[in-house]
Amino acid sequence: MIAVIGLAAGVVLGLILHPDVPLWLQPYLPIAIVAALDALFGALRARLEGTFDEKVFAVSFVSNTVIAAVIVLLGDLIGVGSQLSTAVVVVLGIRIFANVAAIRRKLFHA
Amino acid sequence: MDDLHSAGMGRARPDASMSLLDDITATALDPAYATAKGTRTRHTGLATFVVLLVPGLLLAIAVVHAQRGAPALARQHGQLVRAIHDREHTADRLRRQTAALRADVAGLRRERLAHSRRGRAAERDLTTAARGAALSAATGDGVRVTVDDAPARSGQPQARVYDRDLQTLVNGLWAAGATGIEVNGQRITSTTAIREAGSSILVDFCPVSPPYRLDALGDPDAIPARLADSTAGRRMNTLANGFGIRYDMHSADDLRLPAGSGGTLRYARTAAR
Repeated sequence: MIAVIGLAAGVVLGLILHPDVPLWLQPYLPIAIVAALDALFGALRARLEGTFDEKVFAVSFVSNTVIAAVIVLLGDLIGVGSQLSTAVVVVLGIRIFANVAAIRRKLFHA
Repeated sequence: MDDLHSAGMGRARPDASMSLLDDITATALDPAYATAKGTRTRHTGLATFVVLLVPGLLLAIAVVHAQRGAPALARQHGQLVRAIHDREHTADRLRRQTAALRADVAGLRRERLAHSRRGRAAERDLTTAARGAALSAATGDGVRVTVDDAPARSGQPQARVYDRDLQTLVNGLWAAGATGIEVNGQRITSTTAIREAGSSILVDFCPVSPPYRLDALGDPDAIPARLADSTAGRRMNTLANGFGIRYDMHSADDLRLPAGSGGTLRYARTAAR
C-alpha cells in the first residue's frame, strides 16, 4: 500500500510542480519512461509473488532508465540512434508483456 | 543462463544459442527479487514510499511533456484557420463598405455637377470614361465560358487550371472583340491582375475557386469563332483534349457585369470658386 501511495504522490507532485524538461534531455524521455514502466511492472509482479524489495526496485529502476538512455545516446553518437531506440523499446516491451502476463495469471488464475 | 535450460538434463539443449526471446521473458522479473532477503528494517515503509515517488514523478513529467507537445501543431493549425476566416470576413466587410462609400461619392458628385452646364458636360465625360475603364456595371449579350480543373483520377496528379491559362483566355476574349469581361464575379479592368498564390488563383486580389466562369459581353456569334481561331482558343483546346481540363463556351443573353474596383483618386485640387 505504501508503494501505491508513494507512486500516486509522485504523480501528483509531478502534475503540481510542472517541471520543464531541459532540451538536451527531451529525446531520451520516452525511452526513460518505457524503462521505468518495465521496472514498475516488475515491481508489481514481485509484490504479487511476495518477493518485493525496495532496494532491488530502486536499483533496477535507476539502472534500467539510465542504461536505456545511455544506449540511445550512444546510438545517436554512432548514427544508429533510432534503430537502437527501436531495439530498446522492443526488448522492454517484451519484458513488460511477460510481467503483465504473469500478473494476470496471478490475479485471475487464468 | 545455461542452468535454466539444462535443468533436469545432463547437457545444454541443442537450441541453447537461440534462446534470446526465452531469456528476455525468463528474466522479465529481475532475479534479484528472488535472491534478496527482505530486509525488514524499521524504515522500510519510508524507503518504499520514497523509492516509488521518483517513478511517479517521472511518469507525470513525461505525460505533461507529451500533452504540451502533441496538440501544439493542431492548435496552431486551428488558430491559423480561424485567423484566415476572420481576415476574410473583415476583407469582405471592408469591400462592401468601399462599394457603398463609392456609390455615395458618385451620387454626391452627380448632384454637385448637375448645378452647371460645365458640370453636366463633365459628368457626361466621366460616365463615358468610367464605362471605358470598366468602372461601371454593364449589361448585354455575350458568351459564357466555363473552365474547370480536370476530374481527379486516382494515381495521377490532377491537371489544374493555372493563372496563365485564365490570363491567355481573357486576352483571347479581348482580342476576339469582347467589350467587358468578368471572372467569377470580378470585373476585369485594364489593371486587374490574375495571379496565383499557393494553389488558388487570385483575380484582383480576390481568391476565386473552380469552376471558373468567364462572362464576356460582345457578339455572341463572332466571339466564339474568333476565339477558336486564335492562339488562346487553340491553347485551351489543347488543354481540354490533352489534360481533360473542362472548357465550355456558349452564348448567353442579358449578362450583368459588376463594376470594377479601382479608379483610385490620385490627383485632386479644390475647385476655384
